[in-house]
Amino acid sequence: MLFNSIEFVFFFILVTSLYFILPHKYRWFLLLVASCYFYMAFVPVYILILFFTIVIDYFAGIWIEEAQGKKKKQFLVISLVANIGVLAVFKYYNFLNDNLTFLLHGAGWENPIPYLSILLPIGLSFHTFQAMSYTIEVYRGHQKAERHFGIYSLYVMFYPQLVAGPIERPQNLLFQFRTEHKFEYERVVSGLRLMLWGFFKKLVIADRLAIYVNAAYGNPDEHTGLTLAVATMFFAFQIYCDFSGYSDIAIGAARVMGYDLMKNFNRPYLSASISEFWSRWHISLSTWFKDYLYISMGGNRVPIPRWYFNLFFTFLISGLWHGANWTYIIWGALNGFYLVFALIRTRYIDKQLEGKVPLPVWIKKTGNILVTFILICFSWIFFRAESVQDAFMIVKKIFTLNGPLFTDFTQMFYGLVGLAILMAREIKHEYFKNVSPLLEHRSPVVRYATYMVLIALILLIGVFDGSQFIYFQF
Amino acid sequence: MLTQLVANPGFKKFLVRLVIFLVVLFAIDFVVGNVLRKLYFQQKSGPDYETIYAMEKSTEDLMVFGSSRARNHYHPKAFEEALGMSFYNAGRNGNFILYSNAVAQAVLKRHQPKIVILDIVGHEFEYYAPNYEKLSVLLPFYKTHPEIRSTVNLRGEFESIKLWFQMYPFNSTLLSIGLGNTEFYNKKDPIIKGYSPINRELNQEPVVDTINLNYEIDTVQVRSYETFIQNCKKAGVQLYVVCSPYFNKFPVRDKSIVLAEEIAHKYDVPFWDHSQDPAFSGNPKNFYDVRHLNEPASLRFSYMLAEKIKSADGKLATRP
Repeated sequence: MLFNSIEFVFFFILVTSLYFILPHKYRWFLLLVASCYFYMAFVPVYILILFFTIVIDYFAGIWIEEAQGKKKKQFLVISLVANIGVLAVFKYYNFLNDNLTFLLHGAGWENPIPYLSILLPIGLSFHTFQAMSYTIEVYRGHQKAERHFGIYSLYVMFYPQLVAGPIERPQNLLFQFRTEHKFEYERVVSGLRLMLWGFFKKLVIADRLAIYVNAAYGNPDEHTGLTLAVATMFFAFQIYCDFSGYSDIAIGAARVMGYDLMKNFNRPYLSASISEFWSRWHISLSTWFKDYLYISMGGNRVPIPRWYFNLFFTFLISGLWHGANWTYIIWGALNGFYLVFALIRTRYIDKQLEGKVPLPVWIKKTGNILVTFILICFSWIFFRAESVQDAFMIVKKIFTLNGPLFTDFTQMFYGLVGLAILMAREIKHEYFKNVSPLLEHRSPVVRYATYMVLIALILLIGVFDGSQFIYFQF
Repeated sequence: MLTQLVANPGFKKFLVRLVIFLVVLFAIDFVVGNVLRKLYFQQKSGPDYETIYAMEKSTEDLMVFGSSRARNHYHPKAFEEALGMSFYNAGRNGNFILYSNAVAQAVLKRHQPKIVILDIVGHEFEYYAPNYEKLSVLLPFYKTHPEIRSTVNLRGEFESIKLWFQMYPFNSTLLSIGLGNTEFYNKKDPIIKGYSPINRELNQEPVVDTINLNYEIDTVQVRSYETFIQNCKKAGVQLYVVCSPYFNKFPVRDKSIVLAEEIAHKYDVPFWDHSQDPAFSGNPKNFYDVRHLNEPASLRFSYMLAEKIKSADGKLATRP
């Protein structure tokens, strides 16, 4: 079920109402049934994949806790292999087979391995990563194994974050299912407010900009460098508003029922460096990779070349996590390269320049924000392009910038109205913390007027074509 | 548990504020929606104005329905001169049979033109989700034109619920309403009785169109086409279904065109396929782009068609 659908509005009202009416002991069951229904609204049969990983990880958790020595590790490996195996089959099998075919063709051979005719289950990478974080944390002794099968299932399937995160840790979420949540006015209103902002970002900004972006990226050979440059910048905001909009709706929906999910975005385009960007963008995934991959490889407590490798490799895998396509791998590699280059620059170049370029701090900061934004936009080209060939063609065209701008005046106008509101809010939250934000304003008149304006803008310039969230495909 | 919830002061406060919020929201929605409705229907120019005119004001003897190809290909001068009839071109960019059928239903409810030309395009019946989304241009008419509701409801099963909001029909129209209430559109592109002249000559040679020929036929759009024919017949209107010229060559006849012809013949409606008419197709001088004739060619095409209508007198005919 899509958050941006009327079905979801009814679903949310019904589930939340029942949740507060039911006694605490039955709520986990309500949420589990609701989550199953929510997931089965996409492709019902794929719930069996979820069930498979839930059963494996549930027992693996208990066995890891009870086992000693090597056995402990063996159970963890079983759990990880099962989860990664599911990902490998459903997400990467055809991609690997494609590449094998290419290599074998090069040598003049036919590939005898058949392709699988399967759809990628919605949100597979999200719930497998959440499931893996559970068994890893039990193995590390940070989390007790959950003995209640229903509650463990709910940890994996909790509908607000089931298909696109935030990817939760068991320490943050599991105990919340056992805590009784009473109806709290402030919490409910704050959750609904966050959902409203999420809907605004998705319907007014992301889906509007998508119209221009899809037109340009759908036929890059027919568009000029200038158009593709503008489309890339729009895509940067499209993907941000699409994904952070989803996260806001998810966090808001959970908050209404009393659950705290982790923050997933923190005004990433106001970052003054790439490393800062990654501490503000898709935080639940970045920290997942940091906690379970980067640090496991030794993090920065290793010789410098190995440190650089760890960083680069983590981003390469992060690219692969996003999709089974070379475009995502290049995107990950590019971000890894940015980070390694930044480390080298800090170590060898910045020290020598220290104090030699006397610029006011605000100019330096603005410059850094702009450079970071441009670098991130450049990497988005690979993320959004249909193929590596398309991506390189787009890069080439952008660098020549010849030809006129394709002007879809209506779409650009509505998109820019939404973007202006977004930027005003982000800048206020970043730099004017003492000014009361309109959505959370002390004066109820201002607050309510803001709700009304946002709803009116959603109705008047939102896009109601029921388009999916970009991150569902991952 | 329900009693505990009702006794919760936070819940009571929430309910009271929710009711106030909803009352204020619907009041604002009512006022803004109705202001927009007034402004929408008093537009003086632009695509929305043309749809309003076609649906609510047109009284012409000859009307053309279809997409941008209808809008750019059927020149009023030719039909008025050759047939001595008043003319209006109700084609709309980016809209196809679903839109044409809905507009025709609105027209036929209050006025029977003598002749209707329906311009069919290649891939007319291909399933393409945006064809349904584009029906949003009919949302402002939902309230006052019950005959188009079934078509608008094709946008999604919850369309009637979204229409509880008075502002929703005017989604994405703010800018066009603003400009439509000025002379902006008239100054930008002069429109002659719904016909939009475009002037440029193509600078390329024709190729064999390799666009996917094995597409999925959308039965909903086929049914809509059939309804269009049935409604015209019921109203006693002489209908001609025409496929106007394309620049490129088709390797085989498009299956939507074949199907449209079969259905037209089933109802004894003349079907004229000029998609590959050697008098126009393949000559870059006749085309603005690969899908649209330029003004001089459209004028010639319209004269040719008007003469054909004169001589056909309702007889079945096919390709030239």
